[in-house]
Amino acid sequence: MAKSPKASGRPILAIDSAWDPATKTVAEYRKKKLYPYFSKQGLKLTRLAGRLAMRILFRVRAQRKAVLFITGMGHGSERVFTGHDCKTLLEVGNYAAQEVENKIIHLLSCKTGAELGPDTVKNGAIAFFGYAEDFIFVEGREGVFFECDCEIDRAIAEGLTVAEVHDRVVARFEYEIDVLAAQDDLISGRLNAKSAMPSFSRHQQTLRPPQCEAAPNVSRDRHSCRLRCSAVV
Amino acid sequence: MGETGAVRKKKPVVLPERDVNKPFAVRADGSGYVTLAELQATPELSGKLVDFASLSYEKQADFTIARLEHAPKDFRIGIIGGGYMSRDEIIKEIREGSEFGRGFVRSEQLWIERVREKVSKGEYLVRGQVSESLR
Repeated sequence: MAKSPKASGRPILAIDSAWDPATKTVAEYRKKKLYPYFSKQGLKLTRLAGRLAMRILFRVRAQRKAVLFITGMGHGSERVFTGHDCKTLLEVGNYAAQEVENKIIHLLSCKTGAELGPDTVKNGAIAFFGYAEDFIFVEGREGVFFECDCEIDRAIAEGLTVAEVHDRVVARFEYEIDVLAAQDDLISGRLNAKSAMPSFSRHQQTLRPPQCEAAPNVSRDRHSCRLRCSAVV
Repeated sequence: MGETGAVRKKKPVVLPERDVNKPFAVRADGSGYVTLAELQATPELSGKLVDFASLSYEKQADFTIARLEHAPKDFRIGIIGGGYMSRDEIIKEIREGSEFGRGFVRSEQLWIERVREKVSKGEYLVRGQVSESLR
C-alpha cells in the first residue's frame, strides 16, 4: 500500500533565487500562492531562497534520496539554471547524477527546457518541465503567467502522471489565453508563446511506478503516484 | 475553470475592438497592412495577403513594431532573471534583431496564427460577427 506523503516524509526542494526585481516578484508569488498549497496537501517543503539559493546547498539537498520533486525559479539559459546573483546551480555536464536521479524537476526559468531539461532526464530524472525560450510576463498582469506555471507544481503535487500534468497545464494555459484574448492581445499573445511548454520524461511518459498501488476508494486511473507513494522507480 | 467537458460548447471569445483594428496581415502588393476588422468586412482581401513566414526578418519586424505601437507607452514586460523592459526597449530589440527581439516577433506570429485559426472555427469573434450571430 502506498504511504501518504506525511508518512513517507518525502520533501519537495524549492529554489527561489530572488535577487532582482523580476525574480523577487515571482518568489513572492510562489511563497504566497504555491507553497501554502503544498502544505495543504500535507507535503513537506525545503526551501532555498534568496542568498541560500547557492550551488553547495543545492548539491547537498538535491542528492538526498528522499527529495522527489524539485521546483525552481531563477535565471536560466539553454545549459544552466542559476541561483542567487546569477550563480550556477545546475549546469549540463557539471552535476552528479544523484542530484536529479529519480526526481521530477520543474524550472520556471528562461530556456532551460532546451538542453538542461533533456540532460537531467538522460541522467535519471523521472521528468522535467520547463521552457525552451525566455519566460516573459506582462507587468501588472504577472499573476496569470505565474498561476499557469504553478499549475505544473500543483498537478505534480497531486500526483498526476507526466501526460496528465502536461494536459492539465496546457488546458489551463488555453483557458487563460482565451480569457485574456477578450481583454488585450498584448497579454494573451505573450501567454500564448508559453503554452508550448516542453516536458521530457522517461519510463514511457508516466510518473507512476509499476509497484505503486491504488489507495482504497480511489480509482487506479485517477490515482496519484510519486508524491503520494514511497515507492521508487 | 468553468469547463464542463466536451458536451458543452464553449462560448466564443469576442475580441476587443482595439485589437481587431491593429495590423493583422501584410498586403502582397506592399501597400501596407490589413486589420482583422477589415479582413472580416472584406473577405476578398484574404487572397491579396502575403504569408508572414515568407517575409524577410526586417519586414516581419516592421509589422510587429506596427502592432506594438498600439501598446500604451508604459507597457512593460518582465523576464525571469532579466529584469523589466519597456515598450520602446522591446521595439529597439526587435529593430536590432537581437535574440530577444526575434523571439518577440515569433510570439506575435504565433498569436496571429492562433487568432486566424480560432476565427475560422468561430471560436473568436470580431464585433460585426457578434451582431450577425444574434440575428
